[in-house]
Amino acid sequence: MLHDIWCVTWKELMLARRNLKSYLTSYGLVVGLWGVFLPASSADSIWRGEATISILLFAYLSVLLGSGQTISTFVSERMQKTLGTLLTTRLSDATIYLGKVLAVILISYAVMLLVLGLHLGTLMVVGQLNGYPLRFPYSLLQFVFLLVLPLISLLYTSSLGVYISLKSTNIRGQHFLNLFMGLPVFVMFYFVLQSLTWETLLVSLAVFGFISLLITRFSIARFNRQRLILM
Amino acid sequence: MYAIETFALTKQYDGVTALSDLTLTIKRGTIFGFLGPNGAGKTTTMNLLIGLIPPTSGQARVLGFDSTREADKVRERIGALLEDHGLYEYLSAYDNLEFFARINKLTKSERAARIQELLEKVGLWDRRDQQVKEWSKGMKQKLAICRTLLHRPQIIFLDEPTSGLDPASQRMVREEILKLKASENVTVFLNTHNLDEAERVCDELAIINKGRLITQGHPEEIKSTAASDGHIVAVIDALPQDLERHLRDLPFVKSLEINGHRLRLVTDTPSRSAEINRLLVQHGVRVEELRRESVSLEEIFLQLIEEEQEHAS
Ligand SMILES: Nc1ncnc2c1ncn2[C@@H]1O[C@H](COP(=O)(O)OP(=O)(O)O)[C@@H](O)[C@H]1O
Ligand SMILES: [Mg+2]
Repeated sequence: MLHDIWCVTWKELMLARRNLKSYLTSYGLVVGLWGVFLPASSADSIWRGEATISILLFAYLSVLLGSGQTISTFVSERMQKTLGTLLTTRLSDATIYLGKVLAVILISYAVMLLVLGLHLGTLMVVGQLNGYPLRFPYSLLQFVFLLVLPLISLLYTSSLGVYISLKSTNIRGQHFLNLFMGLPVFVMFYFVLQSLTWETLLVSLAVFGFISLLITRFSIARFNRQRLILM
Repeated sequence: MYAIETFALTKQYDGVTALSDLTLTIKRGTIFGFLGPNGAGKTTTMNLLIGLIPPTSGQARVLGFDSTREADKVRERIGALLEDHGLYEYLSAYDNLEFFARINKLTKSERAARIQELLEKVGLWDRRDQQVKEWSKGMKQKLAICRTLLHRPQIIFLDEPTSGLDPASQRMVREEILKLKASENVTVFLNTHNLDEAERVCDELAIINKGRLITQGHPEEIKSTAASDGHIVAVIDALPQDLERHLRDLPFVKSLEINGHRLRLVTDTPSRSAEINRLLVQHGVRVEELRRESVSLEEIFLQLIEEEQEHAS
């Protein structure tokens, strides 16, 4: 099972590598905006401890990256008409699904970490220029939040994205819906951040994780050969 | 054990019957041609055999496994090239094969050896690192056929592998199929709407139209049983007045076409040339040429389909 899942993930990673140029152009804007422009323009409030907006934007970034990546791994396989052939192999439906979701999470999370690194760097530099003391700009709690919640939000986004893609046949509608998928995440993150403690963090992780797994389950059930082959 | 057996296999899509009561057996080691016009039900049959869609009724067994209940066992043992080649255009030829070899659990050294072996066989080894999107359709089809063979399956399914190719590439792909079939010792289930292809490539043929099996057998066998008629062409130096009437009056002549000094006759059996020749000589014409025309599978195909349609209405 793990071997099979990794097979599919490997293929997606190879494709991403081959498409590196188009990745760089499509993610270039995101990297610049989230990694440099946003931290530079909100550095003052972050250094004063007002990090909510910045963290929220990161939450949103994970949805944005996740949905874009979901489209390129799931929808494009259908558009390029390669899915049918994959379905003639020994791989199970769930394996193909999970291999792809894993690829979505790995690739998006890698970009997230890259942007986060850039973001932190920018904050430090601007902080130094503006005479703030040299320290880490976020509390440990905030930082864990930044690292962990996007992972779950990627699972949520990819499974919901696949679910939607199995219902909609045009890619425009898909993009549109993907943008709105972020809304509940955004709202949830907002409320958690209002009273961020280790307890609320853990509870929100558990609840959000549970919801995401539930959606994943539904999505796997819909990701079914007999349905897919006729699409 | 047969490679493929079906019993009254039937598939309906929302009331539309795509395949009706298909019962056939396919021996191992053959190139089996499934021949029929567009919409005949070829792709549907293939999807049923591979267990990609469930039948409405009936049963299919591939290598002894039930295509519905044991679809995973079937898929482990077969390779398939669908209507779309299914290659990843942005991956290299090598990586395309690497992916499918990994799926089929070949070890690292097996993968390397097998990919090289197959690519060398079809003459694509030197191009292994090119992205597939730069390739011609014919080359892609050859690569896709290699992909079906990676794990040494016992049967490969090819859905119209030469359709959409130019004649030269069609010939190339057909030759590869024959060559690979011989060296890999694999059973081939080949969908085609191309008669010429069926005749050239296949050992065994089933003709299907509108979801119904019309006939099954060796191409020559189909020709000889279906074509009981004889076709005779004669070229003569002159056309005496009453010759036409006399020819038409012969009880075994079904039809006669006259085109200048060229006669084309359809007779009840193929062995009437001597009698025709005698009659011509009796009329004092010099026979410059007299030969039996071999009937093409195409004529038989059209004839069978016509008969079937008359039968249905
Ligand atoms: N998914 C489907 N839904 C409804 N009808 C279908 C579907 N697939 C095929 N058909 C119908 O079934 C018949 C056989 O189709 P197909 O098997 O694709 O024929 P072939 O491959 O011989 O061209 C056609 O009439 C086609 O319109
Ligand atoms: Mg077809």
